Amino acid sequence: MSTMAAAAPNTSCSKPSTFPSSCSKTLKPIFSFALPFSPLPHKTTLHRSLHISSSLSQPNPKPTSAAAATAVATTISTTTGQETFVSRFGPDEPRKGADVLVEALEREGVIDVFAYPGGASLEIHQALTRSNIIRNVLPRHEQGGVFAAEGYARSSGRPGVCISTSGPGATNLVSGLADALLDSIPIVAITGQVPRRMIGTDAFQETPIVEVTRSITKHNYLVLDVEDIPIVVKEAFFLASSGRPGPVLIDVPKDIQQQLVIPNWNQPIRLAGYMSRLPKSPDEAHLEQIVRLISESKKPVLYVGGGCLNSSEELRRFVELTGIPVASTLMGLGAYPTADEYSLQMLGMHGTVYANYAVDKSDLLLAFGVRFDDRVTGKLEAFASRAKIVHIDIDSAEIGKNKQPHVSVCADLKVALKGINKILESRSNRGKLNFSAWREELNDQKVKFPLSFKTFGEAIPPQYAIQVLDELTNGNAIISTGVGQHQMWSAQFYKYKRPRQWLTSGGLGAMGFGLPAAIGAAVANPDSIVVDIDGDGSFIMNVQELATISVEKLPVKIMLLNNQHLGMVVQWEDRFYKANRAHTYLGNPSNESEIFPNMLKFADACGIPAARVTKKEDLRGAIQKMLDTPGPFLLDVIVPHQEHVLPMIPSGGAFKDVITEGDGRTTY
Amino acid sequence: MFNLWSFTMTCLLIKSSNAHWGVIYDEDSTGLRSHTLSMLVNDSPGVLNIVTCVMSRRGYNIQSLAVGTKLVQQLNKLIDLHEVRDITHLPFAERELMLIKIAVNTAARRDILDIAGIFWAKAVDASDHTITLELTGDLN
Repeated sequence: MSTMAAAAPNTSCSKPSTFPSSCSKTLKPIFSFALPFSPLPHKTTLHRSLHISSSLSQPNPKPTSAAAATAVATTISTTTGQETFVSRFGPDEPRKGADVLVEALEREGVIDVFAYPGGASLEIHQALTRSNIIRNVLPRHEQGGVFAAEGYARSSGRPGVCISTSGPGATNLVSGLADALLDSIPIVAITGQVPRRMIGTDAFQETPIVEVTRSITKHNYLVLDVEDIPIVVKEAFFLASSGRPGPVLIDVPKDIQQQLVIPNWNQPIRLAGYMSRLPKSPDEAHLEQIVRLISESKKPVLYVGGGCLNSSEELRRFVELTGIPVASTLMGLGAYPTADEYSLQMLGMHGTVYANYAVDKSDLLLAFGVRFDDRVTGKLEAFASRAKIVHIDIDSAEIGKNKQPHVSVCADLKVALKGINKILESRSNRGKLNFSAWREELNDQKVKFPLSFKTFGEAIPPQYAIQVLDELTNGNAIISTGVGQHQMWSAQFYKYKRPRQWLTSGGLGAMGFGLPAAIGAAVANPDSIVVDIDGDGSFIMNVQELATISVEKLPVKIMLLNNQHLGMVVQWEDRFYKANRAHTYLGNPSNESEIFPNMLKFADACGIPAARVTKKEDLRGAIQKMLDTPGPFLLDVIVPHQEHVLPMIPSGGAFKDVITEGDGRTTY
Repeated sequence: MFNLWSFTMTCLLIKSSNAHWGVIYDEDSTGLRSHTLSMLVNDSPGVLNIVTCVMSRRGYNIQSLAVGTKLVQQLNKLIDLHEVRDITHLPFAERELMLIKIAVNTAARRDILDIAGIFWAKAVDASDHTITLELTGDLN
């Protein structure tokens, strides 16, 4: 440590000769642009035709500049509120790269980070201690840090920030970055890197994290010039939160963190290509066409996903105007109130019978902010096979990826829905839409196939525990989960009222997500009730974060549905592998009568109050006690492992294959 | 001021094909089709890797037309990419360049240059024991 500290003052070399000059050369000229982006796409077209043979010289008419620039300008202007930002440093005062980095975060409005220090990032941590704006919540594992940043982003909509050191610290971020990419969550991950001169030498704690994370980030940066820090951070936050959101990683070598510099905060963003591809405002004609399709249809159904989380109001208005029933994906839960009469709840593999029935029988599928994931569609050919499909998504690559739509709009759903609503409102006096017969048909299905569970003696049905939690929190808690049966039950039995109330690892399905995500949610929403509904397998994967919860005094409630098994895999074993247990028992095989591990002792070790409940009659009181106890609380709910998540459409199956009966007490 | 508009960029011609170089307008016997994409990308470190990563991560051949279209959409998501175009069905020129270094002493050099002349090769370097020839042509 002392050698590192001693090295600090004399590292202000401005251009190390070991690096290919192209690195700085490519960045430098761009800074001199006076105008941010609008002229760029234009110029590139000209430039290109000079380079490629003349037979190519029919440049696509690019409707880029105007529309993109205006769309973007609105987003940017939110960040230009920093004109009023008061720096701790004088305008001509040299400061370390790490201080520039921290100030850049401050200028992006960051107030909380989840950072775990190490040799290559301690400069950043030192700088963080000099900031009186940013609070660091210290996770106990970098994976906890990145999942917490995700929980922060998912629950607030603001980008989450996590920081780790090089090498193992950086590789520990991998699961979280992949998770954020698959669920389109805006996070900015900052990693320390070995000093530039040591990159590529297999130095201590060196990994090429930019290479490692290339395909699991929206974009990533290796900072090779200290002067680039302000613009790289600005771009990273813009990329993370614009268009289809996603994770962005910034790798900062240690010598750059230490190098002294006077930052230039006024460098314009250099994302010409990206800007030109950001979705434009939707074409009025397309929206008209959608409205026409709706009025021609008899059995329309909405299929809404994570892309609707920012358009909750517009979606409600749309349903109000049309009376079309709403089926939600796992990611979209809460975008439309789950308990509402028009809601069909979740669709897909473990969706309700009536949601999947609606899609199967519908003649018009309105796919808004969704990506036709295999857990939703099952067999693609059989999915919505009777329906015309309207697909609205912000990511053009999703349109037509799995299902060919009849009408598609690549746009921000909020804008598109506003447009559609406007058209609907203007024509509301001409022939009202009436889908009551269709809704009647669906209500019959709701009555015939409600979500249900059975009770066996005194044992606590896990679904019931979630139902009681829903009642006692009045459906207002922020819920995070791990992955598996408890996750599906939490999706089915908790009635979400608003978006950003439901935090779950959907696309990646990363166990261990629940506890750290709850930390992030509690930090971002200090006045909300945050409950991590977890499984015993998922909980123990990031159990170390109990320490974080304890010392940060975060009021995170943990309701553990403990069945001593890897429940979802057990369910598959029961159904498809003749109930042969293949390493899915998580208790102690030599003493099966005792609950193992004793989760209460983990809580105790961290000074967190905890209780165990095993009987159904004691459950309500136990949950009430958990909610009434100030600060964190762990409730270990012992549940039978024979329960199956139902309904279930086996993977690759169609609606007709739906299973609604049975559990692990039956043999198949 | 000098560099005001010289946003340094590289043009890449990416061709996915196996044995049928040059036969780009016809479907081969397997029903697969080669695609030629033209891309304009930032001249940033590792950019070639970024582009090829999109192709290689699929793990399958990228020759079928449907996959070709999807590939273009995936490439469009790259921040470092300015523009990608599938120019398979557009007229374009495609050339290859070869540099050949031959171990030859000064006595035999004349013979080599005579042969090179027949094939329109150009000498670009010579020493007392080697000569380097440059050869360009289309891909057939």
